[in-house]
Amino acid sequence: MRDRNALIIGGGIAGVTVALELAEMGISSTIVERESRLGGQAGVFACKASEKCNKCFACVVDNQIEEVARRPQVTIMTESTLGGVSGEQGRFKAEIQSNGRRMLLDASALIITTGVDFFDAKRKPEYGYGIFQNVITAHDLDEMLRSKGGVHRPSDGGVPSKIAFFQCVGSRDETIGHLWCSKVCCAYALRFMRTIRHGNPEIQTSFFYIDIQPLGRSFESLLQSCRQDEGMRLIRSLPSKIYGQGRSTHLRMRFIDPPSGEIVEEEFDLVVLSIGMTPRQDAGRIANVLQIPTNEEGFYGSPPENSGVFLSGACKGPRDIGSSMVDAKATAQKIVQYLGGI
Amino acid sequence: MRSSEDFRIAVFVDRCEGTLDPLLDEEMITYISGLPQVVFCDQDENLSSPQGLEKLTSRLTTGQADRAVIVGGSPRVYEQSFRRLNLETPLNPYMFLVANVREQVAWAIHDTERAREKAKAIIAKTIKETQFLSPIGREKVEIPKEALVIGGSIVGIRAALALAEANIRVILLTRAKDIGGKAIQLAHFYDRPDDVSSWFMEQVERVKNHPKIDVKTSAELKGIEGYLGNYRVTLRGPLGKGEVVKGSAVLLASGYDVVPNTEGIFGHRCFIFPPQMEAMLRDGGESLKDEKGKVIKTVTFILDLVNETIKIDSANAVKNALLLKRDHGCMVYVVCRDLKVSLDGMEKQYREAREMGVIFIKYDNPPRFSLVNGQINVEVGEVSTRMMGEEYTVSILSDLVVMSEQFVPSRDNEMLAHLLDIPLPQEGYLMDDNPQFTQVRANRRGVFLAGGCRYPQPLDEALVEAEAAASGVTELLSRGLYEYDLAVAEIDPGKCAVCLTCFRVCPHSAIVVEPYAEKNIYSTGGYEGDFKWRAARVLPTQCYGCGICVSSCPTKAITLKHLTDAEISLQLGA
Amino acid sequence: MESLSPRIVAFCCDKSGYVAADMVGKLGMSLPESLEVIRVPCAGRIDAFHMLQALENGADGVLIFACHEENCQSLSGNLIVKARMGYVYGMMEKIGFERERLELCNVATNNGAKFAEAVQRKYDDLKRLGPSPLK
Repeated sequence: MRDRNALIIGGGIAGVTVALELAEMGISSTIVERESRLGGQAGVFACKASEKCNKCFACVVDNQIEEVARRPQVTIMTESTLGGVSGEQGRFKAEIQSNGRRMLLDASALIITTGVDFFDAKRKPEYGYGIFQNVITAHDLDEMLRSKGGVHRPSDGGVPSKIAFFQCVGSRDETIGHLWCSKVCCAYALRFMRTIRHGNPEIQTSFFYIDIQPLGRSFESLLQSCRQDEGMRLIRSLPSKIYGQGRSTHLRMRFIDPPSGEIVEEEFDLVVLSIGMTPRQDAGRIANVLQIPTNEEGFYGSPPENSGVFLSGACKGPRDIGSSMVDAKATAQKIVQYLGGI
Repeated sequence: MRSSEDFRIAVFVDRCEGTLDPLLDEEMITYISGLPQVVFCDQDENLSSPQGLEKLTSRLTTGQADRAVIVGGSPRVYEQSFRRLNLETPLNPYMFLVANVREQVAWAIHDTERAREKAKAIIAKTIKETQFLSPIGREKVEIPKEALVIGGSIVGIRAALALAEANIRVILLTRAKDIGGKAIQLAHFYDRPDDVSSWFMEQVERVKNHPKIDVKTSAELKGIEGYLGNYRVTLRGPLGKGEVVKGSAVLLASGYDVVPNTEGIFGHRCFIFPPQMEAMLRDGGESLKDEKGKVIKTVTFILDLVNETIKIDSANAVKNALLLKRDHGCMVYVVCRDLKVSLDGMEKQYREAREMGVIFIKYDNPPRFSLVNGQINVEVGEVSTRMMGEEYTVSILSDLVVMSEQFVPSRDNEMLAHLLDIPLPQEGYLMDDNPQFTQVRANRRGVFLAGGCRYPQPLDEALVEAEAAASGVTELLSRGLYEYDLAVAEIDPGKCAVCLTCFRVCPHSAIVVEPYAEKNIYSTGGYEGDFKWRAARVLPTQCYGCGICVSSCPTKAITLKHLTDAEISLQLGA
Repeated sequence: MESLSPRIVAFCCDKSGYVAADMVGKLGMSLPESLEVIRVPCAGRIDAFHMLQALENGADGVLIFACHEENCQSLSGNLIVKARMGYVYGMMEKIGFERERLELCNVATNNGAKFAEAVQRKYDDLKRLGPSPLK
């Protein structure tokens, strides 16, 4: 039986869940997280409940972070990064930079849960992000809802009357070479629409999409309730450009109106870009350090079996919170098998 | 009832590294020290740190105090620290109360004077509340390293292997004559080039040959009862005498059912379903032939008439469209409402298919079918052809039309939910524990779910779920013991009217009704010997401490050890 | 007659309301000092008796913070307490308490803003409504 301790690189939901599961199995771990807080991308998501819970899992992330802090078996190192790794097969020596100091940690298993970045909407200049104040990303909307509780226009702080959600921003896009679906954006945008309309029923929302992607067992009822909501329009057409005038609140766009097939122009006072996930900027560097293969898109592929290196979560490819947690649990099982079982 | 003179309360003030200084000035400390029954009032800059808690522990060894109040941040912070540092204090951890004067007072009430008044009120009340505290012990129960897996599908197989490889003995039960399930129908994976049949056979062989796995086929479930560490499944046997198999935990992998629609025109031989498509691609030569020997040139996949929010059909359609085009030179159409590409690598496959000439047609109104000279004419309006409110209807004369089989909950789900006493929601799939715990487990401690019995999902996702559920089982069994605080509900059998309200209302199936009571509220005496009355009993390993039974019981026979009604009344000012 | 500072008793379920209450301060928002928080393991722990006891002992208003529907750790604790509230509303009507004095609010652990808003709204409503009929 090997010495049992794990080094987890990345303290997002996948890393935190692996640490929790290993702790329950009596295996200690250290989480190395570069930011000052755990939770990664999902740690700042807002609750998207409407008249009932919409299963967005945002609160689950908060709860997991609190839970992991209760475990004596888990050491949490924030504001720390991985320098290099040597050794192999159950006897790893990792160099960690933490608060300006360098330290060496021993580990019998190495788990990579470095996650993803969100797409930088400025790379789609035709949408005017960063130019028009009232074009925001889903990330900005999460922040707004989490800290203020309600949605407002950045330009004047007023409550918007018409909000447009643009799907597939940074995903399924040949022009930037992103040939993948980020899986979560259709569901999160629909949830945003439900929660916004629940808080402000007078707001009209429109959802511009290519194909609606399902997510999880609760998606069917979510989609049903959206289809029945008269304040929500689901439009199978993606406008290619947003037009605005300097600091005006209103934004214009052209799209094909599906029932008639005609090109129409409409004004909205808030546009939310449903940004997708991309491999992290330093994904390549970590892959080199740890000799993990990367696929064409830049996400990680499987490390060799029995190498003692494991991957979990969105660093393997876009994933929602629920699937990341299930994946993390499955990874914990593989780790405990690798370390000799219980 | 003990006199309040007997209580000796220690107060520990957490200054939270100076952040509570405006609130916790000398006047406040004097006030606290002067409250009734307070034997001492210590301060620390950071009580929840290891050093702070060490000091707290040593202060309590003197035996001066028999209960303690922490004045500082949220109780959740201290509970966290106690747990994290595995704190053994001379005082039982349930003899502590926390006065939250930081998050809910200092940080939320911006007028310092008002905040101080509030803090004083909360501290005084918390100190008074300590009179209701009583020590709560810890119990442990042995958990043998054995588990039951119900369902012999590939998910059950994978779960059994995952458990066995972690040194857990598994009994795998299946109703069928052999293990395997639907996965045998797949010819190709959508995401890797490996051959499914050999992979599948390898999994089956591994399970059958594994020293830690015992496979029981043709096993019909008659009853399931027990609790974590001691679940017992009774199988139907000849002459009503079934075998009883035991496990510490139960993992359900009972799958889902499919309902193909073969009514009317759909019964025609040109309509096939995915399993037949898979079989054709596995066995067919370079040019595919139907059962009458006619060469198949045009294949149309119809999606989203059923299973609209499930990804499986889309993935298989794109995968097979590519194979039909590349290996068999067919003309292929995929007709759908929305193409589901939310699987790893699917978007690229979809583009590849389009580049190879597979035609994707999207509809709003469902396609219509008619028979034309031995072929099926599929008529569908393509949404992108709409102009001036009219749409162009495409007519596809197909040699073969691949329809979807509707995925429905397994017909066994009702029986399983009933036998296991777990809820079955309206949709008919077995219910996970609430989202705060995430999928793969049921709300009864020790019961886990994976795969299609929860919801139909693509093979790779179902396999990950199988391993995740196995990890849930592994955790509970990992120490060979389950330790828990007796901070649970407790029923006084002498007051129980056996109305079964608590039994029905308990969300975690933690209550059973057994003959164990010495007396009963209806009894007028006259019963002798070792006769025991039936009464409700809370299984302490299964109880989550929610207290729903406590408030539901009409005779107030149930108490929640760590939050009694008396405590609540005091907080309300009664 | 306007009430000076309405006393609000908030029953907070440990899995949602209590954590949301803790979050309020972190967001820089505020809570009235006449708010009293009672921590319970689940909203289902709250009996009709407790709600009435709160009103009986001087609360001008009672708020119950429970998990969102379909997000209760005990599956239906939030629905059970809602049903009990229906019963209490009936009693309140008979004894002359306005319905606004008892309300259910669904929150998640990260709904600090919603918690603060709900409390503030109830506070303002109760100021308008006046003190409890018992006073």
